[in-house]
Parts: sequence; structure tokens; C-alpha cells
Amino acid sequence: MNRVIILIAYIAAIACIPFSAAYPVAYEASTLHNSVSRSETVTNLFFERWDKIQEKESYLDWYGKINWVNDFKISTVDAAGVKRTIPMELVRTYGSITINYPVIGGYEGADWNERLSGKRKKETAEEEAGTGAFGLWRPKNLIAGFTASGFHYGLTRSEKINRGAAGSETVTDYKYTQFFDDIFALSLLYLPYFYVHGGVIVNNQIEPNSDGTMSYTDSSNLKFRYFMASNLLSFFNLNTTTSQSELESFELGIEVNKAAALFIHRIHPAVPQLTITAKKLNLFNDEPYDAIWVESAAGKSDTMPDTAKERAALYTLSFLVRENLLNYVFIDLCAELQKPSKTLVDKRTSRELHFAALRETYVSISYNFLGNRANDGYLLCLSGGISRFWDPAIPVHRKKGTGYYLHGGFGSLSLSAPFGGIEAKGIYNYAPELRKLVETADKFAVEGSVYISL
Amino acid sequence: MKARTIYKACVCILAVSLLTSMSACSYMMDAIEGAITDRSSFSIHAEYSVGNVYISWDETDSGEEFAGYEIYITEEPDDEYSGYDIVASRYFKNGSPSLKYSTTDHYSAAKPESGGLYFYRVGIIHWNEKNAAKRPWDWDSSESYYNGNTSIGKISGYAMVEIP
Repeated sequence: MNRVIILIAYIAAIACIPFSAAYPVAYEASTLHNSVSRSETVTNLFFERWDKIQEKESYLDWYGKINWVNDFKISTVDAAGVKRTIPMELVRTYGSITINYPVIGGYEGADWNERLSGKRKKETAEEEAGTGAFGLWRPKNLIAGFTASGFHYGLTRSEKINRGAAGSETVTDYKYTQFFDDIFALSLLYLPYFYVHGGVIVNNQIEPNSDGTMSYTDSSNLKFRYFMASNLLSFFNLNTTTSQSELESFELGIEVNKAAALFIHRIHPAVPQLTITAKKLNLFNDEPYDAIWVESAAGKSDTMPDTAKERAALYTLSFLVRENLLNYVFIDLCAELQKPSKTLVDKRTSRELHFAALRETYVSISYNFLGNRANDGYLLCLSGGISRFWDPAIPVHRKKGTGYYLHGGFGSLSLSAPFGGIEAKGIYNYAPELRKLVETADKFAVEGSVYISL
Repeated sequence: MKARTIYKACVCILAVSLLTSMSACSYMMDAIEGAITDRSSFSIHAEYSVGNVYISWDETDSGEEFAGYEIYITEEPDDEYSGYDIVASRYFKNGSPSLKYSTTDHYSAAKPESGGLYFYRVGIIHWNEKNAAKRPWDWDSSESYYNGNTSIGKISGYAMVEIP
């Protein structure tokens, strides 16, 4: 019966997917044009979603998120040739669909509600006893999966239309380059021993038509990258992203509690979970959109040939602590240290930039009003967080002040059930959002998301 | 054939279909956001000729929810960001009956009083109640019902015209 439901769910999901594009000047924002940074963003979103998928052991997962950032004041030249500052909106949308298939065995649980609630996982006597190799429980299934996920960034302009006696309405136009970054990945999971995701990242840029419309087929810059993400023995993560010619990012992570569990039979669930991640990201490439020059500003310009460009990497080391207090309170605490591989020079001052050791730090806390039903997969969470973020591009994009760091925060309300959930969020200078796109500095963003997980 | 074999075959076929035919998710979500915010989705052509502005389009809509076309012009000359006012609809001012028909693909509007650069758009108007049987008996002839129960279903991009 379960398999029939799975099949119906697959067909329903595919029926919802548009089989062709639905819709048939230059704002040179920095991070938007940095496809290395954008690839990091879309892969991080991919990992975030897969954490949920593994937690819920989903066969089918669909997730959608829309984020609007208002108050983007853009200097532009209008049709009459006059230079003006026009308010626009930055639109960011993220979508993801994952289909998992049990090649061997299948996820367990007495019924769908029990499996999706997550309360069964790692609680069986066999799992606690650790009867498999390395003290882990004996695997019972091999899961193969396919994921398509993507992130769209772009500016739009709202126009008010007065329909006379029929009232007024607002419509929107595409403005300037639109960015589409997509991941197509295959996955293989043999838990708790390993999982591996591998796939292609497609970075696409599309120039809208001069009348504000756009065709998805009018690509102006298309690049491919490849990524692989793996986990061994539930605690060791290894992630890489490569362009067609070089390794662009390399990440090693240790989930400390799970590693310790290999030697200590049982760690009390109240002990906070610690994840340590080291990363190398080839972030600085002497591109016009970068806020810094590599090594020196001498003889460099935004029109210099690619052969003269120098490159530098950013090394980071992050510590993430997660705590669940009786299913009522959830706390995340993160700190990320940084060090560039070479001397970097601020383009605004042509002086060497001394990178702060602390790149990002944040703390978030959620209160679950349905703590007594969390074991059934129901959560109603009111969340908030504060943060501090350092980036060389912040002085370029901030509205007030001159420093390289910003404090910020977010507030959100989310409702989760075994089969899906929704969330509404307000964000201002929150570090995890600024690192996705530093142009959102000093701008308020609203975000809505929804998911279905079966 | 075992149920498991059939199931596996179905999943393989569906997976291949998914891989080959689906639009990537960034495009799907952009299309959803565009639908929410009424993104301009088709192009029009506009040109000035002897005291009139001739506007034409290829987009058609023959669905049951189609209520007519509306023509809009920027409120101010030389300002594409000034907002838009209605120029013509099936009822606006004395009404333009041709704009109630889905087969209409052009409209000729009187030129604005002052010269300069103007921008035109075409709106495809939809009835809020998609099922015609649920609308009042005079829905197709009542101006007040049209004004109170329609919205922009699709909006064109803008076309610039220089008025001498």
C-alpha cells in the first residue's frame, strides 16, 4: 500500500511541474555576478534541504521559498536620458524537488505518520545496541535519489496601474540581469554508513527584454560546475565544488557527537550537538564585481584581461552548536573564523585590508508551542536570532556607517506537520542572509516558504 | 510481472521524464513569483501616426475568465516610472466595444495632449468569478459588475512612443 501511495505521489509531483517555460541597461551588483559565491549559496540551500529530508526520511520532498527585499535604490538612466535613482525590489526564489527510491529495503515506521514524524529514528533497541560495524546500527536500506533545486535572483520594478472606476493594481517588470542557479544531483544513501550526492550546478544569466518581459531561453552567460558531497559513518563530511578547470571549494566537516558515539556507547540526548567545518573557497578573483584586489592594486583595473587577474582563497573554520531542550526550545549558536590566502587590497582605499578573524557569528532560539506533540512531528515555532557579519563588500553596500561588519537579526513563525509546513520570516542584516548576498545590507527582507514532504 | 518490477519500471520512466522535460526549479519558482506579482509576460507594439497611437499585440486569451482588454499610458511624459492611467476599455469613458472580444489584436488611441515620450501597456482582464454560470444574469452588460469584479490577468511589457 505504501508503494502505491509513493507512486501516486510521484505522478502528482510530476504533473505539477511546468513542461515548458511559462513566460517567454545594467545594474552591476557585486555578489550577484560572483558565480562562485552563488554556487556556494545554492549548494548550502541544497544541504539544508537534505538535512530535513534525511531527518524525515522522505520519499518525495517539494520546497519553495520566495524572498523580497525592498528599497533597492538603483541609479539608472531613463528613456529620456536623465540619470535618476529608482526604487526597485530584489526578488529571490528557491525551489527544490527530491525523489528518493528504496533500491533495497525501505524506510521503516509503522505507518506514514510515524515515519514522517521522525520519532522512530535512532530509538529502536537495535539502533541503541549498535549491532552493526563501528558500533552503528545495521543498515536496512539503500536509497537512490534525484534532486533538482534552484535559486533565482533578480531585480524587478513595481508599477501602479490606475484602471479608473475598476480601481488600481500593481504589476511588475524584470529589470537588469536575472540569475538562475540550478543543481541537478543524484544521491545514494546507505545509512548510517555513508551517503553521497553528486551533480552539476548550472549558473545561468538572462538579460530581460527592454520592455520588462523576459524569455527563459535568452541566456547571456551559461556556466557549469560540478559538486560532490559525502558523509562517512554519519559524522565525517566531505564536500567539493569544481569548475571545468579547477577546484573552487573544498569543505571538511566533523559532527563531533556522532564521532564520539563511535567510542562512547551512548551520549545523552541533552548534550549539545557540535559540528566543526573547515572550508577553502576561491572567492576573490580580481573581477570587476569584487570589493578587493588580490595582492596589489597596482596596474589593475576593471577592464584588465583575464590572464592578468590574480586569485585568492578564503579559508574558514566554523563551529556550530545545536541544542534541543525537551522539544520546546531549540538553540543554534555559530561562529566562523576566516583567513585569506593572500594579501587583499580594498578597492576603495587601495590599501591592504586586514581581515577580521571572526567572519560570522549568530545565535538563534526557537520556542515550540507544540512541544508536547513534537514527537508526532508537529511544531509551531516562534523564532528569533541576532548576528554579526564581516565582509569586505559591506562598506560598499551599507546605507549608514563605514565599518566592515553589520549586526542584524530575524524573526519568524513556522508551522510543521508530518506531511508539510509553512514559514513566514522577517530579516534585517542577519548574517546567514548577508553571506548569501551582501547587497541586502541595511535592507529589510520578507520571506515565505512552504514544503510538502512524503 | 511482480508489483515491485512494475513499480521500478514506472519510477524509471517517471525519473527519465522528469530529467528530460522539467523546467529547472529556479525557473518554476520564478514563474510562481511572477504570477503572484503580475509580472509583464508578453510584448506589444505601439507607434504614432497622424494624431493617433496604434497599439497591436499577438497575445490572445479565449478562456471563460476573459473579460476584455484594457489600454494604459504613463501618467507623465518622459517618465517611464510615473505609473499608468487607463486609456481605453470596454466601458472607460464612452467605451471601446472591440476591446471586449478576445480576437481583438489592436487598438488606435487618440494621442496625448502634450508631446514627449509615452509608454503604453495592454492588460488582459479576467473576471474574478471564473465560472460564467455563477455570475449575475447581466454580467456581460453591467459596467458596475465589470468594475467591481475584474482584475488584471496578464499584463504586457511597455512600448515607447514619441509624440510630437
